[in-house]
Amino acid sequence: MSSRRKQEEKHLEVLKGIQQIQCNKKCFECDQRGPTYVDVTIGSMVCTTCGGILRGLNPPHRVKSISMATFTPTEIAFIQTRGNEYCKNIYLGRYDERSKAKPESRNDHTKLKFFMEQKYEQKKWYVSPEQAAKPTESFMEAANAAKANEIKPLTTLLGPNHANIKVEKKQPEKPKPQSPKQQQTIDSIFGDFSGGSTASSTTQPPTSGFADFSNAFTPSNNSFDAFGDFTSGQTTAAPASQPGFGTNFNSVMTAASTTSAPQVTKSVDKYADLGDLFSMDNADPAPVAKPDAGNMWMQSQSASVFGQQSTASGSVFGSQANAAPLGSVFGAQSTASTQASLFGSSPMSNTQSYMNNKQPVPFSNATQSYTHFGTSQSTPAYGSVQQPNPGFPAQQQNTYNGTFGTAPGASYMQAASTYGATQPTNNFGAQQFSSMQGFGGTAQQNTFAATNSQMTFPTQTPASSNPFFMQTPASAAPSATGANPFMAQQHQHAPTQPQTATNPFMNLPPQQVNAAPTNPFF
Amino acid sequence: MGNATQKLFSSLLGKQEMRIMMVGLDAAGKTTILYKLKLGEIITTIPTIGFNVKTVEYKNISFTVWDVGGQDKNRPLWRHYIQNIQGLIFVVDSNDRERIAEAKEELYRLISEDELREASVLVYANKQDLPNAMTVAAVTDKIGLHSLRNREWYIQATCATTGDGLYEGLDWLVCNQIKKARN
Repeated sequence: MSSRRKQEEKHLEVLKGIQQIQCNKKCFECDQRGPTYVDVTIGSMVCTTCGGILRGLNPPHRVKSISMATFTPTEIAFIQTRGNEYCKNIYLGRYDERSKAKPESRNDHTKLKFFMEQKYEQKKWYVSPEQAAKPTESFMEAANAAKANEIKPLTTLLGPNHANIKVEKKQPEKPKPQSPKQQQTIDSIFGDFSGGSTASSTTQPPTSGFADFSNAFTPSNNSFDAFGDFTSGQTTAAPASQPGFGTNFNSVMTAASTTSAPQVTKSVDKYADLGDLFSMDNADPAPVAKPDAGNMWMQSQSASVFGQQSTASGSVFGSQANAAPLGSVFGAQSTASTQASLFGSSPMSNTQSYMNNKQPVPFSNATQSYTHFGTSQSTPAYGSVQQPNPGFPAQQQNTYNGTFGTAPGASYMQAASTYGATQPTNNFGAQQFSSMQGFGGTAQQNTFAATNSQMTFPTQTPASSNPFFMQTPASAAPSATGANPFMAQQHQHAPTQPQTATNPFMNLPPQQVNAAPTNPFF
Repeated sequence: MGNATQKLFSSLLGKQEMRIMMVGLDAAGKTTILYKLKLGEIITTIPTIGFNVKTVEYKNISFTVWDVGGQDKNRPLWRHYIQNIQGLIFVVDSNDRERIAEAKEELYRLISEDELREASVLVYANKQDLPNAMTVAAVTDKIGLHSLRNREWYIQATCATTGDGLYEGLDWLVCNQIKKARN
């Protein structure tokens, strides 16, 4: 009997310890301070009221009072592994804070109950624990896995009656010195980056390298210190919890955008396709070629209408933002899905991606510009793109004016090729963010490829329907020859890029713009 | 039967009071039952700390129902409520197969109390509306009611949210009480 009491006391101690964890200091359901109950079904801490509601769900949750109940060792162990943070990642994994589904007042029990029904009975925002429980694992890995999932259900996305999709996966013949690396499980996100940059540095011409990186970035900001690993060229993983990484990253990115990266190389990077997901920073004049990425995205995007694509990526990121503690680092990830929304029409699904990304998005300019871009796309005529937008950064706008206005088809492809063609391998920041460019470029290419196969550019008048809403990219993209339609298009249009003074791509040396040979799509 | 009982009851005893204690494991539905009887509606309950007590008028009988919290640290307190109890309602969650043995244990521990030797035992096999609920027979079997000796017991399938079976159970309690009164 005394041993039992001792054990109970021990359990109480453990529970009190769990209660001290910051996220457990509020009711998981209604944010009431000082929860006194434990939902032993899911392992969250709740208040009395919510405990009562949880008991009434179907199936009911088992709720135990911390002070009025005794716990078995199994239950204690279970609660120890869970907690509100964990449960949030699972049961609110895809919850958008802005959706207002969560009742504002904790006194409205009807709404609270409805919210919980959605949460637990319908599992509206549920993310499987395997997907959510990767906080320590590589964000990249999660993204890759998610992307794999994304690609899988293409047929379901397109419906049963879609035309056959053939996308040539052209892999440029380039050495892949890091291919064994792809097999590795990399624990740290930094490990990924460092690995990636190291690998790419081996594939580069000698003109680039870490020296360039340091030269380019050290003067511009101090944040380079954060990437000490990269200067040394080691593949050791930097601590994932490195403070201030987000800002450093951001500033490095900024530096990258102000520095031209003349290296025209390519890198076969395992994570390149992930980088594509983040593609937002169109101001970055350092474009990238990511063969894997390009092909992967071609595959998925050409096969899917962009709206669907964005849906997929949106949900993917929704969960990953939770899963990865460094979600804030990738402030751009939310913008990535914003970009996806350009091509599609399901903003709701996109918003899911940001829902847990409470960090300010560092690339607000890029976001805005793409948003603008998106809105202009949604208008039927190209001309509208050229309308000055007062709330819009001039540089960004000019970019798109240039690409859209002067030669809708050609320059757009140009932009795509610029985005997708070259790779600055000189540094981590540029690599990462320019790989983001690849996404945008790929997407755009696909868009145009689809459009082109339907109508030729000269005949495409502004009055015609928006090419981005041509719903047949999947069927149109693969031409009868099976060759990738992007290649020809890019060749044709690459030289015709308008050299507007305000075009940020002007920063690039000409050879970079015409870096066609290294473009994975060629 | 109800009408005859009522007639008999009122003719014999006049307005009657009956003290009833309602116990059972936590989340069995005791508070919901109490408020269903009292208010006729379903309220969202919270886990009971301590007890709720309500007087319910039914068939000219005033039932004073004590609804005692069922969380495990509340259970040792049950015995403090059993004085002058004429009827015991034991509420079982028919859907909770895992804890049916625990329920049985608590029931037997309670009715072994000397003060309850006269009390009739009414078992509510609650939550019958849930798809996976055990039948009344299964619950009877699981809590070993058949092995009860020298005890008036009755098991009633109930659904607190609809109110099904609640009054039927009270009917039995009343009948049993009258029988006892006659003797």
